[in-house]
Amino acid sequence: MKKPSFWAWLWVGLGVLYFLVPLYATLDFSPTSQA
Amino acid sequence: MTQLVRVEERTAPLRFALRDWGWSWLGVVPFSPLPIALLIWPCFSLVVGSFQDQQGHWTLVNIFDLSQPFILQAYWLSIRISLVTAVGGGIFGFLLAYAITQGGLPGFVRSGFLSFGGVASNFAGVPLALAFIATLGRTGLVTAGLKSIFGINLYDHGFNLYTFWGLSLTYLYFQFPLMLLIMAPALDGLKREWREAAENLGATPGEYWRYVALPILMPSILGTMVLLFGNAFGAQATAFALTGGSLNLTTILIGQQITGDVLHNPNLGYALALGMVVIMALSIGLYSLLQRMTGRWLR
Repeated sequence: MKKPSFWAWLWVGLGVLYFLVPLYATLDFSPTSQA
Repeated sequence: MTQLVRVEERTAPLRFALRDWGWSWLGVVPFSPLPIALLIWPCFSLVVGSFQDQQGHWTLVNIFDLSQPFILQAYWLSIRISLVTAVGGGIFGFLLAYAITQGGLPGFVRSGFLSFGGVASNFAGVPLALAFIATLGRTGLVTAGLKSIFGINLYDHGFNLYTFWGLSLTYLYFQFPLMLLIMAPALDGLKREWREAAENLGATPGEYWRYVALPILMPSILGTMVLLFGNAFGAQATAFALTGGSLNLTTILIGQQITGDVLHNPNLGYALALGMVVIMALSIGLYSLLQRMTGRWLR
């Protein structure tokens, strides 16, 4: 099994941020979550 | 006699192909109304409508009108935004595909990204615009977070979500997952023997990528970027929901011509769409060509 590289984790981390931050922001923005 | 043999040789593949078909084409017949109704008929009416005026008379005016400055600007803006998001999404998507296939990460990362990539590549329109307004709008989560934590106001530094770069960032949300989904199998297709052979010949990992892997993958990378270009070029709902028509994109212009109150000229809209069909056809043709070039290596 190949050892995970720093760069692989970096790109995956950025990918997770790009995927999830807008979704979380939408949830945070919705009136139901602020009520 | 020699000529007869040559003719026989030339027609043999054709007869072979016809024999191969047999009656199997009958199986496709029940499904043929679908492409006819959804693809062929709309394209046909688009072409016919482009060469007619609003009274139904044949004319070339709509085609000549495509050279008006505001229409050329719309095409140019659409091409620029498609290019930027195809290259940006292509590079980031490739790096991500490399990370999940060759980076030695746990299996759940790969399956998670591929599953979510399938969803995100189809996440567009009003929901995507809303998500980015909630993230990078004037009171969005990231904008407010950067301001309160680091004291950085993005909008004071020239950033605006409702401009070219803001829209590009939004388009990237569905562009790079598409690159990821297409490039992951291509990266899987790289044979271990190639790397071993390169290492046995003294190549460093960098040299292996530069002289072996990237030349093999390049047609696939470029072909997928062409596909991303087409994907962004045809997007309308996201741009319209985000900018409200303030950006003069071709798709928004078509909407204004077909359903608008001010610029109402459906036939010019058809001609604009015909221009887009030509650009998309060129993109898909280029994509097929590049995929065929790389296909023989990745079997």
